[in-house]
Amino acid sequence: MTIRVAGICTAIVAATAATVASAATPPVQPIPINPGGPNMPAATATLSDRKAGAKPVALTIRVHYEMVCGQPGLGTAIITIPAAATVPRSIPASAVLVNGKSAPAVEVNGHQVTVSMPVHRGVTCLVVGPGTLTLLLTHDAGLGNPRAAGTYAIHIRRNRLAFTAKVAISA
Amino acid sequence: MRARLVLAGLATCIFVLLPGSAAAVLGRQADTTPSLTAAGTPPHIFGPRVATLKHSNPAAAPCPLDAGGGLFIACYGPLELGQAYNFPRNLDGKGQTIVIVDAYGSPDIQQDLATFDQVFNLPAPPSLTVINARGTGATDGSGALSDWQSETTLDVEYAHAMAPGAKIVLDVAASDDNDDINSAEAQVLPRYPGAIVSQSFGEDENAPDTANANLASHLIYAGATLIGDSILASTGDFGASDGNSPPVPVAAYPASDPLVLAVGGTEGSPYVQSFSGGTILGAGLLENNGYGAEQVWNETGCCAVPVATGGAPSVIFPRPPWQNGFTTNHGRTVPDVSYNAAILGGVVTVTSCYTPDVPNGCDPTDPFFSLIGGTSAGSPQWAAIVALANEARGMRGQRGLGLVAPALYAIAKNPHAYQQDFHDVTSGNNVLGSGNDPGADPTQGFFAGQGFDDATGLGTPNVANLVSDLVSVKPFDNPGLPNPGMGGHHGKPDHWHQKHPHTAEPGA
Repeated sequence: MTIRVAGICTAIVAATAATVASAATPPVQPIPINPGGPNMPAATATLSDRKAGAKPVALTIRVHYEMVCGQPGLGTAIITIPAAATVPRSIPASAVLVNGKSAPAVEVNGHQVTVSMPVHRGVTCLVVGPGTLTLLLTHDAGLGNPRAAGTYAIHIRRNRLAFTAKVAISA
Repeated sequence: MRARLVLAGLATCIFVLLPGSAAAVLGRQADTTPSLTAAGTPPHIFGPRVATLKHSNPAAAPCPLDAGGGLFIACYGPLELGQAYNFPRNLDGKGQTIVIVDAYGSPDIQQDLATFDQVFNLPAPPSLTVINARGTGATDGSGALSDWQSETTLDVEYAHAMAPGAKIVLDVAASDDNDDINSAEAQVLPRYPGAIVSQSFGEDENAPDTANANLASHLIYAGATLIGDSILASTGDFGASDGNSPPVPVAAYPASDPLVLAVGGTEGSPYVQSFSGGTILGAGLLENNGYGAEQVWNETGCCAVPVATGGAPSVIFPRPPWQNGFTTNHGRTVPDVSYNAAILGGVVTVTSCYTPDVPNGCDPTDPFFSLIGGTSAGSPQWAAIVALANEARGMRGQRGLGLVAPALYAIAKNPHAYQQDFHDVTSGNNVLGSGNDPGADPTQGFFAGQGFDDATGLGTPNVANLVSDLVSVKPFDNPGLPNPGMGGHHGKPDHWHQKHPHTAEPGA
């Protein structure tokens, strides 16, 4: 039985994979294969307050991808906030939670917020399967909604994987 | 015969094909549809509801996965794995007990296993006993039940799938703190003499503050081995260096314990194959309903971070006598053996909790298929192999194998038996992030080669042949040997020779 999936991303991967098919150890482009399960988007974003111009607002982002024992893995999550939104020049690490715990470090460059992933210590299970990374930019992060109503895109990049979530701002 | 289920028009995502400016992807959408959870629908390369599948062959896995655009993802169910590794049809593990050790467990495991059996046309196990062990009040556990649910599902379903006649005991530790895991094993293992124990977890063997816990664990294993238990563990998912920086090879515990059979990972070879209908990723393990070929598990394209099989010489435990002649490493070398661990080319599980930390992500009445990989897949399936061997031995009036590794190395010393019983994995490496690049830095990992090697050990099994030979092997009679030398061995491991490991050919 074959499960068919269609979409723009898979076409890109197919083209990429085909070009390397003959290599002994071919590079394969990232494929977020277990993002969120049926009827769930690969990434979601929710605001504590959807009203235009509201500030401060808390932003919760969830992205789903393959993880070892549910751990998000090392590296960074780069969040690109819509240009119409307000982003302070700096955000304290304590204002950003990664899976419920304070981020090790947070850097702000314009509307790009880079969140370092925590290092997992201790025993870990060794299953690689679907997992969820939850990023919470709390009120203390100082984000502000766009002044105009509409739907805005938030982009999240986890190392080689990239996701897009949308938020709706009401009048 | 394979049917086709078409779930068209599902995927919308963005791939970062090349590193680039994040600003380039910044954009405001003019979409007028209010939505808090937009972003389109994800690429459901996996995750169909079990109920939606109409199997023409109930035993076959819903594989390969059609990702669209001529791209397919290999995956395997019990039938396919049985074909690839030549599991015998006349044995099912009857009379044996497999103990699965996990933290936190899974509240839906009973129902998920029942669904799994229904989907793959398997009989229910004689029993599935879930023991929620008392905790120690330890505070270092992750507290992440959801992280271990997929692990529990994989372990139970595939230990059972490959030895469906064996009893399954799920030993659930109160947390993934070392003390709680030790406590769970101390409570349960003495109750099951002759059991096969699977542990799909680990930690750097020389991680801070773990010496006492590892010693306690070793004593538990010694006691269990004395009552005839066989103990297995997976070697890790972050390559030889276990993801550490700098990337210096390090073995993981409990796999590095000489009383444990350490199971590493492989992937199919070639990993990418073209055919008239397109391209398939993760293929190669199964060809024409039989064994294809494998290489070291080292994937870079599946996940946000690279993954590869763990494997390195221990700096705590000296080389056990049964590894003499196979390696010149001074330390006990892991893995002993290997098994498919690919993600693209992984196994199919049935789970109620696809994303347990997402609202409505769990529904025991409407489970999903899930694609799972990691060295976690190997430990429970090798446990099943030991169960089959013990069953066969029982038919001949022989007692179970107990400590397994000496028996496997004894077989491998005979070149003919080694060739018949193992698939010698000779390509790839476990340098994390290399994707099996032959030019990878040899100081960061180990390369596969002829015979035993530090990346895949003896290789993967031809189960029917191996079990046949394991029937006549004399069990190792002195599990107290060798002295594990906890903390007493600090010799430099011979990983400086990893590019061309100084390993002896079987029979040397």
